[in-house]
Amino acid sequence: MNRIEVDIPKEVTIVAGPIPGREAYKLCKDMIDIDDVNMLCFSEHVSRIIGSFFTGFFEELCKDMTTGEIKEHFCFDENMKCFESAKDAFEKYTQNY
Amino acid sequence: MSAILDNTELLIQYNRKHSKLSQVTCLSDFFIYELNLQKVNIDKSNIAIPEDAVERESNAFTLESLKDVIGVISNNKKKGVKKPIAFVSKKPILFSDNLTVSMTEYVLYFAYSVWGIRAYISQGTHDKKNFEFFTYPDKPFYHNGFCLGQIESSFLSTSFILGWNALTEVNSNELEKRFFVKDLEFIEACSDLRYKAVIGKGPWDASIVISECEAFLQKSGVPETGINAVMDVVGELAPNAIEHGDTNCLVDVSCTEVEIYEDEQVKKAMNISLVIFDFSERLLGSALYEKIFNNDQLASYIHKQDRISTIRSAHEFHKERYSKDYSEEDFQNLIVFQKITGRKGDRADGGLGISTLIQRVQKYTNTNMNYCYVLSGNKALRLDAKYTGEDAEGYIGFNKERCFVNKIPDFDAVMGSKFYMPGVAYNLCFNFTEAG
Repeated sequence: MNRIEVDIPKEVTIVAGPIPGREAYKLCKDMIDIDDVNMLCFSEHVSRIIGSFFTGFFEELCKDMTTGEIKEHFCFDENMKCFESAKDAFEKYTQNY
Repeated sequence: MSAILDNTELLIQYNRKHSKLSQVTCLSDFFIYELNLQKVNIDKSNIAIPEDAVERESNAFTLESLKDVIGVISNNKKKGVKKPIAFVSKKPILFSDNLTVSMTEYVLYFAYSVWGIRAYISQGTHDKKNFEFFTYPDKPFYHNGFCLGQIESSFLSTSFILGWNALTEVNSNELEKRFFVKDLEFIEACSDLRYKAVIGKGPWDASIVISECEAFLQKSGVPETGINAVMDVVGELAPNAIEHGDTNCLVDVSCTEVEIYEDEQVKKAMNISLVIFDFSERLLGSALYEKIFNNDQLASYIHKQDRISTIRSAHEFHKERYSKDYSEEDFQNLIVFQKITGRKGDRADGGLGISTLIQRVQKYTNTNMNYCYVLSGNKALRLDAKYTGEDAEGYIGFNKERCFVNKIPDFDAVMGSKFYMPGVAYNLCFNFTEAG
């Protein structure tokens, strides 16, 4: 399991939209190992992830990976505050793409 | 924080012509124009208010009235005249909805901060020599589409539209505070009623504003279900506006506690109004329409090919039925709601964002008090629950039959306006009862 801390600015409690997704991907793409399972961890000040965050986050990766492969290789830390919303937004993303 | 929106010149350019207003008098310190307001009937059937609180027939200030105002102000700008302008009505003024309030505030703010022209809108009486303004002797009830309250206690009392804004000159810092309804010493607790912000194009700008907006709703006592629903909608629409329009956008949220009739009982509800707009040459459906109809190469990139063929065959049916009330522009708006998800970071408007919006309006806009629409160019689509029911495959026909392919929208679900909205504007209103 490859644990990745996703860096989010301190004043952001709700992460929304594809643009932050792209930005977050840029910041952590070197840590992603697509042969391993990557566990994404958002810090405690993030209470929710909403909207199309993952559309932006996986924009690059989905050129080479299917939605099924993305689902296989990414998961979330269950202990983080925004776990439920992250899971929902991720499911919504994988169902629609 | 600067409140100037990108591409405001488009708003002015498209709306400055054919103003129907003429100057009625010119006092030493003000030009006076009488507003050309439209008579409207207020449906009070499910609002628990005293019968005499507001006249059933009132005069409404609409976006078309704003077009007239833009015409006058920009004409004065062209002539280099900077004398303040009062737009007045002898009768109480009713604002047709919150988008109209918000857009009007923005136009007046722009005129002052960029052109140095102060203008305001007020009830008042005048003769050739005198003008008596801002007279609200009985604190009349005012209705602005969803919110009904006394002029001195409702959020309209803090509005930039009213006279106090134009009476004295202020510096740009103070002007911004007034526009954003922030840190205003003379209006107590006004920050509990309203949250306004301009979202810039920086990667985290939308998330920061949405986070602040959540804190505002929590402070205002909005139930958790309400906060979640509103956050979901803002979280989709604001980033969409920025990404699709390649521009900044304005978000304006306000809460009002109201009493509604439900199941023959009076219930307390929290009404949340949400206005989002951006100025851009790109209209709501134009990019998606271009992909589906004018460029086969681009169309092939779209994930759901079966939906493209359905939309193309619907187009064949609809275009045979175009009229003065329903046109190609309306159809372009319609396709945005048909769950076509562009792949790989394509504009999310056609996909997830709009689906989330529709789910929320279906759940929380079930009374007559909800007047929800999206406006782009001269065309608007009603988004209230009764128009946005989906068929089994998720298509939305904007008609009672829930049929997209073989039926055009109901006549009252599509609206036209002489006001031209360059870009996209949403006027949404949700209500949340205690039961959620």
